[in-house]
Amino acid sequence: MKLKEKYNFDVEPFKGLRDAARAVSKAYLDGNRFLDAAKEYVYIEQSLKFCSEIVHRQAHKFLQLLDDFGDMLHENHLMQEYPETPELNWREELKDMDGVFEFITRVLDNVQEVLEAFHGATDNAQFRAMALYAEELMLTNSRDRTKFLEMWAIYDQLNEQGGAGSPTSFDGWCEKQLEGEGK
Amino acid sequence: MSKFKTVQSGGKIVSFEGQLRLLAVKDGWLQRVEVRLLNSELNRNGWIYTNLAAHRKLFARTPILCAYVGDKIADGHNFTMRKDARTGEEYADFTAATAERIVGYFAKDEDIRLETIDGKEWIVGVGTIFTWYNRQLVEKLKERGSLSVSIETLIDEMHFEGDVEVFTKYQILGTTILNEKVNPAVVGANIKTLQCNGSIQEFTMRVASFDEQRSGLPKQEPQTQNQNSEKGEARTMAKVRKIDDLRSLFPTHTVLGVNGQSVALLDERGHACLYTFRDDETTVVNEQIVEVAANSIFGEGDGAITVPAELLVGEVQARLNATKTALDKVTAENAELKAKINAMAEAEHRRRVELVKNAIKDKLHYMQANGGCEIEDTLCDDMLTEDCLNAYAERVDGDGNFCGDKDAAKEVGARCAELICEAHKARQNAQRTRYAWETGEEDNGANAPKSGVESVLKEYAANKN
Repeated sequence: MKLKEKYNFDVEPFKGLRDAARAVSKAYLDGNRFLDAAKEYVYIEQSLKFCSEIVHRQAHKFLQLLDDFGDMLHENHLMQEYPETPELNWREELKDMDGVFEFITRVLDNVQEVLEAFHGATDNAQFRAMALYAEELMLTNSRDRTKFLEMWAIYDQLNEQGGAGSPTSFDGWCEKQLEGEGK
Repeated sequence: MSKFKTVQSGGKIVSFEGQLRLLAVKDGWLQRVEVRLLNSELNRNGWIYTNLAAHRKLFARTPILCAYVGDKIADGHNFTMRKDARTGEEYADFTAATAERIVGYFAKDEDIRLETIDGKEWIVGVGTIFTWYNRQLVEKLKERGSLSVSIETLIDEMHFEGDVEVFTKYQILGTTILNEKVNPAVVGANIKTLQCNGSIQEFTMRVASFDEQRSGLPKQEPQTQNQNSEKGEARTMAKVRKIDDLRSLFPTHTVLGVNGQSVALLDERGHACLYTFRDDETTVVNEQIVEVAANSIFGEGDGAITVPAELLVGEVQARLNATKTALDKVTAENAELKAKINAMAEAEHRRRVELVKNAIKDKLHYMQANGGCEIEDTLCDDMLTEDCLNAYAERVDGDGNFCGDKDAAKEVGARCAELICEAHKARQNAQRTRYAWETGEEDNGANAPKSGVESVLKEYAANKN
């Protein structure tokens, strides 16, 4: 028996993982495309240069995580499949900054959901390593989600303070965050 | 459905066969029908529609269609694929007189249900047909009780499980009524791929039969995808021919395309030709290559201009042929000249080898005659080997002039000079004054000096005493 006859999504025991693995890849790919679109909206429509940069970095991070997930599949000689990504109807999804943050957290929630499904499919002795890796990806996703929730909180706080807060102040705060990360 | 609001893009469009039957009349002009729309069994085309429950409601607010061709009711999928002249986008055109038209619809979510029939889970819909506009169709339905339908779906997400295509996310476009004679042909029949102006999207129309899936009855009349409002040809899957494999079979023609057993060709004059294979035929009978008329249409409607392929490519082909002839001629001349040059180069090489050989011998003889010492005839034999002579024959100076013979003579001279020097040195040594201490005296005693100088000192000491 050839290696690829045994290790692929068409045969047991990997057959049951295909849909879950595709869903994870799709969530990251969608996340990349969606957040890139959101980045455009934040930059062009809202003129928040530094906030858009943070969104942009998260979009790129999704691709890195996609590759990480693929590497994990490769450990079992499983091919990562790349489902198509739809174009975001940004006019419907992104109407203001609150909508942007709500949308981004939904994207991250979607990632969490598919990772949870993948974890469920792999949470057994046979695929324990994959399950643990899925947990790592979930932790990373949770940290990213926290970051955007904090941004959302700051944005709301600054805007609720009337004259003291403004989108510009918020973007200044975002700039400081980027300086912390290495601008 | 996606959790996010996205722009719909064209995916793969496939059809699935269901069955339609009459219900009671809803009111005077509305005929209710029940349609078995979709199940999740593996069908004969190797497809599986999954997630029926999630897709159930998508049938609501979709049309029921039917095509009328003369007296023929429910002719199947009749439409024309056209290409937008401005954007190049392909689209389905339903404006032809025989195109399928909307005859009814599925009104609301509640009309679509999941039902287990004969152990299979089906999406079953209750729809409405407009009787006023479709009298013959309704009469036919009443007469026959049921007809097959074809569900047209746009596939958004799918994957392969082995050879099986599993559709996991799809949209419902419409439900077309088929007549009793329209059964799908063999598995994989009526598959056509249309490419959208170089884009990566592929629109694939496929037709399967619920009747045939369920009953396994032999086919009746092959169903066709009447994209040009004409009956198509049921294609067998006897042999899938690839354009790359066909090129070697038509050495005097350009292979333009292949469709089933038919191959579109262009001959050397730029004329369009057609060849049709018989079943699994693997060789080509040249006599059966026939010229055909192939036209290109520029523009649309009344202003469209039809240009024969010969006109389109004829001039270019003529130029190409002339260029090819000229190239062949130049290539032949080039080969002739190259042969001459090679012959001359070989002659020159032989001449140079002789020059080198003579230069070595002449120089050696000269040195033997005038060197004043004995020089062996074999001194330069290694220079007369074929490899060495060839190497000297290739030598040229900085100006490109041949200098191998001179270099060889220099080498002979150098070797002889070395011998002459050694002989001369030997002669000088023989003639030189020799002193006693250079030769030393024999003394076998225990105190015998070890050198000539010691011997002199010893003698001096003896005399002093």
